[in-house]
Amino acid sequence: MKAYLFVTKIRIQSALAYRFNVISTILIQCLLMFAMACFWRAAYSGTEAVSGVGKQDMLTYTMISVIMGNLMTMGVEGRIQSSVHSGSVALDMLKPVSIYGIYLAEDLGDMVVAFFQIAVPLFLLGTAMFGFPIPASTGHFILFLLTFCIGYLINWMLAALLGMCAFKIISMGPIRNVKGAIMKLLSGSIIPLWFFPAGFRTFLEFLPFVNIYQLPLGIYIGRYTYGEMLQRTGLQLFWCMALWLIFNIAQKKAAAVVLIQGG
Amino acid sequence: MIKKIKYYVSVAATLIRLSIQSRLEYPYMLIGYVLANFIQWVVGFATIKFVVDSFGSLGGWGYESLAFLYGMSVLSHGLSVVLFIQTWYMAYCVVEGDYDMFLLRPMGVLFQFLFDDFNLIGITDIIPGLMVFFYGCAKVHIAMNFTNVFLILFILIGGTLIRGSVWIFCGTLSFWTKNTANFTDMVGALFERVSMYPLTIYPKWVQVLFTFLLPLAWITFYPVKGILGMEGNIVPIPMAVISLGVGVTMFVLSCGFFRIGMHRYESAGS
Repeated sequence: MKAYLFVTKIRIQSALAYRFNVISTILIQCLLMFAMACFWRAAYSGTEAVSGVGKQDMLTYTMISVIMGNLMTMGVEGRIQSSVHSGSVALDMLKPVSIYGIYLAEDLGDMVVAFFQIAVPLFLLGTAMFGFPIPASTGHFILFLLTFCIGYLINWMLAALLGMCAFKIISMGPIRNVKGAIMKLLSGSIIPLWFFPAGFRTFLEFLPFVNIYQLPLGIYIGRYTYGEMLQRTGLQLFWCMALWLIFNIAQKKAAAVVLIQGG
Repeated sequence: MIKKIKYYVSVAATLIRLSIQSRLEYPYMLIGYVLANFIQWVVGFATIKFVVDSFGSLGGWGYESLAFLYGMSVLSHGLSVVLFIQTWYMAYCVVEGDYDMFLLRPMGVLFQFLFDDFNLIGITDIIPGLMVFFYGCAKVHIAMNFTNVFLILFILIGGTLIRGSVWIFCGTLSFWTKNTANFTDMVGALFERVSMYPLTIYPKWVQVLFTFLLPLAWITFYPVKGILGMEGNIVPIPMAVISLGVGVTMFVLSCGFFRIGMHRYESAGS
């Protein structure tokens, strides 16, 4: 455990060294948040509530979604690819720790940094622009935190599974971009699924993606009844465990095909 | 003069041929990008469609005109990525001293730099762009007559030049800052937000900013509005012509700015 904590600490320290990156990220994200808020305001002009969700709830949804997006930076995909590419994966595997444990520790380190450097400033700026994003109740907020954590793990395992493809195909090309685009649509991070056509929506609700963004965000704004929340959180837990199983099998398979380049 | 132009054209043609050949070395990569970009634009378009289906309109624009706007935006994005992608790496060239090579040759530095890398992969943005564009054309029932074809060409050229100029401008800044600070993501986010959605969804001050100060609204918003005849003309000339004018002016200005920046270039030592 100490080793993983150390990796997290190193990650935090190295991220603190790049000031320009932080400022530009805050700027871009702030811009994105502003643009999306304008988008929803324009869409809601003339109507009070669509699909049972009001304008202020949608602004809260957007703001928290942008912040969540910054906390969920999945470095693991790129990390596996670049270690396979450079051959340094051999060194990673020699160390007496789990390489996936190390990768997760790195991503968690990034999240800690992102929380203080990006999430907090964005939260303050967003509050200044669109008002404080009030959660539906304290209970909702606690459940939001819980589902966010499970969602993080689901997202991380999906990213790791994709990253493992690099062991086999070496160069990933644009696969990561495609995954990003698809995730954006299917997870409800840009527009919530309740605006989708009914048939498509029902299908998507059974996929793991909705559990990453839409479920925690929907809970935050109080979109679901208590019964629904329990049911959906149950489904989320199910996906988390299912992915954990797949992840473990894939991990063994991947280790068998590792090809060390250079050295 | 004519001899000189001929020479430049032949050099450009050779460079373009070489970069196409080098890109074709990896055919699977190309196919991968065709699929990837297709999926990305479809996802982007679906986002707009679902929202408009639920809300009816966006900033006073209906679904049909939004589809047309989106198509135009993806097309000029694709063209600018084909022609100007190397400007994304200008900062690195300044810091690494890559301009040494260009300075030694008896040709314009910016010309060599721009034609050094013709990005075939950018075509993969144009294919889905054309699909959305034709879909949009069919939806808004635009008459494909002589005037409209020319106006659309003007918009595309103008939009491509505006995008390219902003990139050149941002890249040139690194002659002064001497670091690889990269504005590509920020500018990309701006382009997307301003050119794919109607400007009317933003507050007044943002509209003024992107009309006059940083004229990104001329990439698609105003000329598309003009060509669809969405409101009476305030000025007697078509908006598309103004777009082209804005594009050419910005391009000339950014070239001038690059020349000034070049004087500050001091290579990279070793």
